[in-house]
Amino acid sequence: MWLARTTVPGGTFGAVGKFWWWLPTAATASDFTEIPVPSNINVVDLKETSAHYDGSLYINGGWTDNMVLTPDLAFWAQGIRPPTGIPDVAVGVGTLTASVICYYSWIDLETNERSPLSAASATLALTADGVQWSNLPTNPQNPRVTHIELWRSVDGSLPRLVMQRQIGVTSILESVEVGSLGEAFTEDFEKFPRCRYNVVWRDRQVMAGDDEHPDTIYLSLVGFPERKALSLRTKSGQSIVGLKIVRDTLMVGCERAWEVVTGYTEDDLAIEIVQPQIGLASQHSLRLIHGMMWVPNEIGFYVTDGAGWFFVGDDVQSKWGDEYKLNRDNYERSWAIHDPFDNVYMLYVGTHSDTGTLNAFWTGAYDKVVPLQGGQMGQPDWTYDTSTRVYHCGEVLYIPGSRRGDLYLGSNNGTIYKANNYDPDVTGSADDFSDTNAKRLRIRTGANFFQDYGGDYAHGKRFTEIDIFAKTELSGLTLNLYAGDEDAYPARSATKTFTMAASRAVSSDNYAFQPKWTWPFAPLVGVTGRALVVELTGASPQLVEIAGFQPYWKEGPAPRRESDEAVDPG
Amino acid sequence: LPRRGLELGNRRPAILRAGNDGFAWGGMFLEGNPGTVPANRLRHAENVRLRGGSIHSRGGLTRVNSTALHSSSAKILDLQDFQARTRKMYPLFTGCPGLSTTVGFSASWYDTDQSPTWQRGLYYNSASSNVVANVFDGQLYIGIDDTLKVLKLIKSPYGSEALAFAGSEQAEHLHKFTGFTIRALEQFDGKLFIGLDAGAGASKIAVYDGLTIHDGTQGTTADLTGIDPPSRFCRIRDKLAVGFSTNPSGIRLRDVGDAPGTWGALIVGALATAHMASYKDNLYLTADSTSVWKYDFATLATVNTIAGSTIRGLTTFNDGAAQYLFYGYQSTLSQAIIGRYDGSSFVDVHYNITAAYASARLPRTLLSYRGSLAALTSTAASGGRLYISKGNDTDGTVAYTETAQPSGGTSGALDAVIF
Repeated sequence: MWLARTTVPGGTFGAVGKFWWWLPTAATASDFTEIPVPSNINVVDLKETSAHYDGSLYINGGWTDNMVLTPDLAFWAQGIRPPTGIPDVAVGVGTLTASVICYYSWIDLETNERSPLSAASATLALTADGVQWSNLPTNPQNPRVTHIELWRSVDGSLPRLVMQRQIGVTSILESVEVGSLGEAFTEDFEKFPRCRYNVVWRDRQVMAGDDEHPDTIYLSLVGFPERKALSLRTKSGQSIVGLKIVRDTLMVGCERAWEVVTGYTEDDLAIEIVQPQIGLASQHSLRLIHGMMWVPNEIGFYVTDGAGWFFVGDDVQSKWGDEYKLNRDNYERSWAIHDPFDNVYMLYVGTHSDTGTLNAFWTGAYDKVVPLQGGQMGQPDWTYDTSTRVYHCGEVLYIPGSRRGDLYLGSNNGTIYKANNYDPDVTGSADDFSDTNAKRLRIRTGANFFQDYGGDYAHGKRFTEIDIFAKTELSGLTLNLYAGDEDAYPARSATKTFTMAASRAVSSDNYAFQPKWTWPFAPLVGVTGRALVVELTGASPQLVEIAGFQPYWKEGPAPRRESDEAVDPG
Repeated sequence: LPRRGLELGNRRPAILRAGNDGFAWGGMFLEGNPGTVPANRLRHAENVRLRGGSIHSRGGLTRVNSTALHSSSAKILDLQDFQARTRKMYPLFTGCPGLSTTVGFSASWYDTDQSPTWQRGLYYNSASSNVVANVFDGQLYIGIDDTLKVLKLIKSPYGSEALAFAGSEQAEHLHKFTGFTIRALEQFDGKLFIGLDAGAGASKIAVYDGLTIHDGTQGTTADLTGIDPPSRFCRIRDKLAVGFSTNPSGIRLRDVGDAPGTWGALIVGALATAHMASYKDNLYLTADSTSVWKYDFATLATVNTIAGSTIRGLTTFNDGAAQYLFYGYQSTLSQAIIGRYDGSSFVDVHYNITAAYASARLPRTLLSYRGSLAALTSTAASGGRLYISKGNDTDGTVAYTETAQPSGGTSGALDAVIF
């Protein structure tokens, strides 16, 4: 099954959140089933982090407590605080002769999660007596608790389990012999503080992002992910921004550094700085792609396998830096998708100045991000994905029992969208299902000199024709030509504009037999300058493929012309 | 002035045809001025994918939910895949849905993560007496007539049904209790307790410890003999309670310990036990009759009576705020109704299933299933059906969903377990 979390603004304070499960067959809101949220838990209007362990999902950051979702869809605050009272015990009728100290604990027998022990009772000296337990607490603060447990330390031994009883019992007289006592209470642990980030590493749940202690990492007992046992603080002293496991290495992302935790037990667990200058913009921007973690930060993008760090933002670094500066909050709340079907890493950053007022993903095609000779890393091909609609999440979700998934996006209108839809017969493939941006296609080349850079004013180019090699059977495109010098665009509006109507519409040819690939445009009156920028745009593009272009030119004046009405100098 | 005269005529062929012939398009190059952009790179690329050297328009989005989830202004902040080993519900039938309403017995499984959601899996068409099931040692044990079996779940591919995929037998034969019918199974104290029926005063309880069947044969000793037919087990206060199908009978209790164990004396009550559940440290029972019974370790007595009703299904359910006891009954008006008890007061009409689904009749079993309350009921002339609440909305503010049994069957529902 799949999960979704939604929020709307609260009536007076905060937000109202709901948690849902759903299936691939869902088509309306009624096909989603709400998972009950415990009455003392509120939603937090932030994205959450989660980790799987032993069938359950451990969820941090999105609620006012750390949460766990069990396989039976019970949704509980992680960890159980111990009973707050001191056991009310007295000498009763029985057969024990010993000095005993008594304790309570809570337990959820559905998940076998128990609280630490309560405070100890006073020592009871028993001489052929029993223990009368009175005023047993019946109202655990965590509604997941199913039973109360009674523990007894006998003659200084570890406390051992006397019995488990369902919540509701108020008094018990018992004299269970030492040999019949149950397990010993051997581990010290406590409930985790509320944290934003978590991972499961070496059978421990690791948490960070405690708003009270942002430089602290907490680790659970081995095999008991809800029981906090250890903590470490960052060596850099910086706040933790994210956690990720990369090839069994626990990576700790800080504001301006990366640190690594090593070890297995409290005797050898340690944290060290591995990158003193590379930080992390956002926990949710981290994605593992083929064993490499993608790391956006103030400098640009890195990928790392936990050992080597490679900068993969060569082609966009300046722009990235400007945008981060301009939209800092967006970038520090950014989130990413790995779309394995289009081979892209996508980072959603919201408003972006390069795309007008549209919301944008930085989209990196990672086919070329492979090790190069000399220890370098290939650079991704960067593009933008844009929309008018706001998105808050994206995830590849797999059909239950299947190994095939699809990418889904969550928006700000209570709607989930399914991506990777290239089928023109499916509603929404052209325009992202009625997004007003209509999935606008826009490509623009650099200023092409065609290996002739001109010289004085007379040694430029007069472009006479241009062939566009593109297949656009279903969608119309617009061709804009900008002639001039290095800054032909955006110094002025297009020098020349042509329309490319969907070729299926203008040709009776059957698409299957003769797609139209060559689009000649001539004459290009007034298109003069040293260089030419070619731009193609189109709304609602479907199955458009652009191979390239081929201009024709004569020697002409270097300055760009002022208007299309300029006289062709012949 | 120009340094030389203009050159006339086209310079053909032109220089650039990026994209094909090994000159593949690359992504955006945003450093420097536009004149520094390599010939096969782009200064701006929006809503495209680079594949095979060409530039392609990217795929679009299609809408999943046609009506807004939560609110038309709701932010969908997180999506998650959650495909842990979720537990299934195993409804049991007389006959086999879609094949027979009367011949033999069958077991099916209901799992929202499989397709079809409700699948037939086991069908014993020569069985004549009973089928029961319960969990022990991480496996589902099936009692069919006199034979104890262990389910070997064969997960059929998404879209196909287990019965069609793997046949009617998907369980391993473990032991035959000749002369007895298996009526109840329960895990307790690390052992499987097996209630065996050979009639009043001749029935017994056997124990399987994972290695040996302790049933009074082959040098072993049964756990309890000379009893009326056991009908139901339930764990309470570190003890095992057993109820019987004769009336009057009552219950007996056993402490932990190896077989043969020590059973307490019969706690007499005028009931033939149908279901049991422990709630707030007390034992509650139904008897296919008009009352809910309670045993508080002092008295076994009725605590709630609904005149003319048949009360059977019984379970506890935590709605996220508190734990409740739910009971299901068929009223004098032949309606299937779910009642709720919070430890202090009974609400006899918490949800009327029949008011929403006219054919629903006796809730034979109530279960807590994936955050919902599930009722397996009999129906008027259409066999057992499943009704599941919308999450913790157990009072039916949003109607329960109704699921007909597989293959349009009309077999009679017996019981169900969660595993």
